[in-house]
Amino acid sequence: MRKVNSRTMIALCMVILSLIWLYLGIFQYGIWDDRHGPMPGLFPTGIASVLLIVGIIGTVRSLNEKSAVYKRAAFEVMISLVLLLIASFTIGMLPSLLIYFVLWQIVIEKSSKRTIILSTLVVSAIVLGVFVFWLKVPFEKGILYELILY
Amino acid sequence: MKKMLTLMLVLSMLCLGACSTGGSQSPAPSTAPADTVSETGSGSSGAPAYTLSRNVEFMVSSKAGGNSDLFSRTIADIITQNGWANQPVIVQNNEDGNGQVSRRNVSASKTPDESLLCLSSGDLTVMVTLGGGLSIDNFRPIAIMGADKHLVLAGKDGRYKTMQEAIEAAKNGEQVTIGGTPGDELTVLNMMLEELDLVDKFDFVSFGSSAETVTALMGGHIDLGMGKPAAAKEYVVSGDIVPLVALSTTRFPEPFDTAPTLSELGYNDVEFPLYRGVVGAKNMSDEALAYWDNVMGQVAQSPEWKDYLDKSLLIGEYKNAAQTTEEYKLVEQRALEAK
Amino acid sequence: MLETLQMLFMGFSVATSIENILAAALGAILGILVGAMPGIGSLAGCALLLPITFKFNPVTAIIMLGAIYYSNMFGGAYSAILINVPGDSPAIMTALDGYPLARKGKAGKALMTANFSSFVGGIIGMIILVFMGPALATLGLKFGPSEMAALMLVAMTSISWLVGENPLKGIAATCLGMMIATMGVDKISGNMRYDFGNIYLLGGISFIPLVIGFIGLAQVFELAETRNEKAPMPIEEKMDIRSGLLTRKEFGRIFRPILRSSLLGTFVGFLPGAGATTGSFLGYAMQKKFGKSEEELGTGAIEGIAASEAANNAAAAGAFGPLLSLGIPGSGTTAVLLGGLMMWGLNPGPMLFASEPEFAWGLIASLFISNLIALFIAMVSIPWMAKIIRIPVGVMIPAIIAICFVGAYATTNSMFGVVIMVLGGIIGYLFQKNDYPVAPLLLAYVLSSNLEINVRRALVISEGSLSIFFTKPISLVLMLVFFIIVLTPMVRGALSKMRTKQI
Repeated sequence: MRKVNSRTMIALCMVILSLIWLYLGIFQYGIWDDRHGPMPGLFPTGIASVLLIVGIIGTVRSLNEKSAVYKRAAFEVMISLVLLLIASFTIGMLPSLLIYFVLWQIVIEKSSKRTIILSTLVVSAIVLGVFVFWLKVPFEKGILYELILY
Repeated sequence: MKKMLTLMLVLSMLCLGACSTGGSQSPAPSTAPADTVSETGSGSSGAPAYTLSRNVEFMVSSKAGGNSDLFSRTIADIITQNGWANQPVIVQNNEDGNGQVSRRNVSASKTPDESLLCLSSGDLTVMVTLGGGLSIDNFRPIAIMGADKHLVLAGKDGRYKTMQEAIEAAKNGEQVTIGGTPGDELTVLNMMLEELDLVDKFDFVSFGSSAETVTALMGGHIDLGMGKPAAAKEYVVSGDIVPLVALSTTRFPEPFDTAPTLSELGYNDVEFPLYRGVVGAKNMSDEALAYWDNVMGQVAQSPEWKDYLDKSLLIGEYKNAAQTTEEYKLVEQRALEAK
Repeated sequence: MLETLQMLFMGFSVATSIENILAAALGAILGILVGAMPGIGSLAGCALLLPITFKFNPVTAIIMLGAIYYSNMFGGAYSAILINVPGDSPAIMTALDGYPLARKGKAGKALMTANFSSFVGGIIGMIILVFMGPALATLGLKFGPSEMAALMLVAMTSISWLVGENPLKGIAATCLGMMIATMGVDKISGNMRYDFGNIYLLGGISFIPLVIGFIGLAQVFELAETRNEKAPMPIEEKMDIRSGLLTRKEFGRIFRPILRSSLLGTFVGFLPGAGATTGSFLGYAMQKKFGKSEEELGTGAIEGIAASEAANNAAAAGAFGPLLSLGIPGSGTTAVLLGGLMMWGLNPGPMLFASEPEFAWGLIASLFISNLIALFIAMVSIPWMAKIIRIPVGVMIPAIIAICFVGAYATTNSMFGVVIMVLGGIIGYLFQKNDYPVAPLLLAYVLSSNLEINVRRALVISEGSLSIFFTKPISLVLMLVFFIIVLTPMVRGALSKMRTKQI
């Protein structure tokens, strides 16, 4: 039994996606209307068909390919991204970023105190200076904040 | 050396950030005049005094710099300059989900008295025809501040010099292409075709905005185009575009005055004004509604607003909360019927 | 011709008033800064700053906005080259060669190339604007739905040049990009497509957060994985302007790419609906196909940087053409500027040059000036910027993530953009790991909605007949070009097979 590697999975995902697009395109959005001409489903269906073919070929070919090598470091990044998202929704984006920035350096990079403090100052200056004060972007405040307020 | 440079960089960033707050577009809370707590503007006839308890969020469901955005910012500025609100009015843009998200957020706002939404009848049409389950009943309409009406335009070298010609051609089975946006412009087009007994006889080419329609007309790619005065004025003045029909009960002012209304051509008038209005959250309190109703009325009378109407070529039609509610219910009905 | 020059001089006299020069300078600084931030491009920058400028007088205000728009193109290159996170969409192609070059220790050269190309591209674009503006704008009008569709087809072929070794994966990426673009409200019929009942998806997938994630976050993944293996980055001995200066030979190398890309970029900028992003894509693609370079494009060739940057600045200049001479926005950002112009009581349209010559020429002249100012500031900051490369990876990773989050949010004012970015980052990482090319997906996304919309419009006009693409002159020419491009490799392949058989 050949190990199913990530290449196969990606190719399979493409096949599945193209099937979904095809289904919706044909049955829900319509391809052609005699009066009005091309319907919303025309284009997506055409493209999805191509992807379907390519995806099937790719799936078959990938069974012979070696899997890509994934490193732990990448998962560290992935997890922090997801956690950052969740945290942004709960306690607000800016606080989450700050906590993340400092924590990452302490835990993963094990940087020196000087580096941590200096870098935090600089990045905060950029973020606050450009985005908060100047562009006045209304950053996500998080559910907690809203709960407290109301 | 490196530290010095970094320090300087940081300081200059902070300075830049700080200086730019000088030119901020929304007033800092500290500048709200303290004496406007109970005044809702001069000459308010017994309007209830109202104290806002926090920043007012005025949502715009389209991008900054667009028509709705400028509309809202002008209103916010006028309110602030005249001190008609004791809290800052802050305009925010959020286009998510084609505008549905910000509309939903306002309708369900936890701070209903301080949440406003810029909602035009076009937005309303889109809102009820897309998914999301929103309807005008989720809001409390406050005011209609202006209206846009439509014209049928043609390029100066177009095939049809008058509307009669186009109607004749369509009746003879010739292909007539007409461009416009798939929202309000398509609706008024269909209404017009119904009146002319030419339903489905014009080929509708969809564009993203009136500007695109005008461009296509100028390039000779389509025969006719739906348009609003603001988008077409300069081109009519320069002669590149000719207005054929005014979809309104009276002729438009210059330079569109050469276009007859449908009644002058022997049909019933057709119009479907694009109303630009402001609505509030569903749970807005009655006092707050009366307050905002009054404030918007003041804005509509103000000279700055008249100025804005002139510049943006909007028709200055004002409707108060009750009238707006009625009007928007009609718009919603029509949108659902057409669906 | 003489009259044009006279008007231009008049424009300069307007533009060189103290107030206006200061406005241009401030605009240039803000633009570079904003451009360098991932996610905030010229569109967002201009839109956010538009209300502030209402307080100024119209000429000064538009000068400042023009400067911001313009110098954005300079700024976008910075983050693209230094950290492989394009500051905005036109800089995506710059990153393809800029970052590898920086990794080789030649960040200074990369930045210098980018700045110089931007400057020259802009100048060429503006000269064309001045002398041929109205004529080109009128030509641009002739590009209706069928012509634009044909042009988009030609542009799509340029994707194939970016595909790399595995054409199958390239096609997959392209298709995926096109399918993502179909999500949201269908602009032609007003109906929803592929929103899966999610209210956020009604708006489709926002492009900029996708780009930030796909390229920027994916970059972070790579940094994380390779941080321990990498040999310390080769550092240039002297971090000053001199080390970044290009040698005569290098100037010679980039001369032709700049020229070609500027011409192409200006023209693209004039077309309604195509702006700096499309310009830079096409400029880079053209360089890849037709240009000679010592190194392979994509591994750090200065020709690539030059082609992309010259094109995007030229296109930005070109976009002013239809705006000023016809009142038609040539790109998303100029659409925002159009709104601003109307608010200031200036009605852009065919009469603008006649009724407000001071304003129109003042603006054009100030573009030249802001170009100069932007170049100066950019050059001066090169040595400092190049130092960014030296920042330890351990700081870069969280810093880039933080700035990407902030940038993605700021572009859309919503967490939805951030979610897209994170997803884009994970998918981008998977793509890179499994040898799927990234650029085709992004290019396909940008071009395909334009393609589809125009094809459908054309088909309505032609009542369903495909002949419209071949009967209108401009689109006939473009379709021929398309077929030539597509068929040439096949014909060549067949011919060479025949020849080898004969031998």
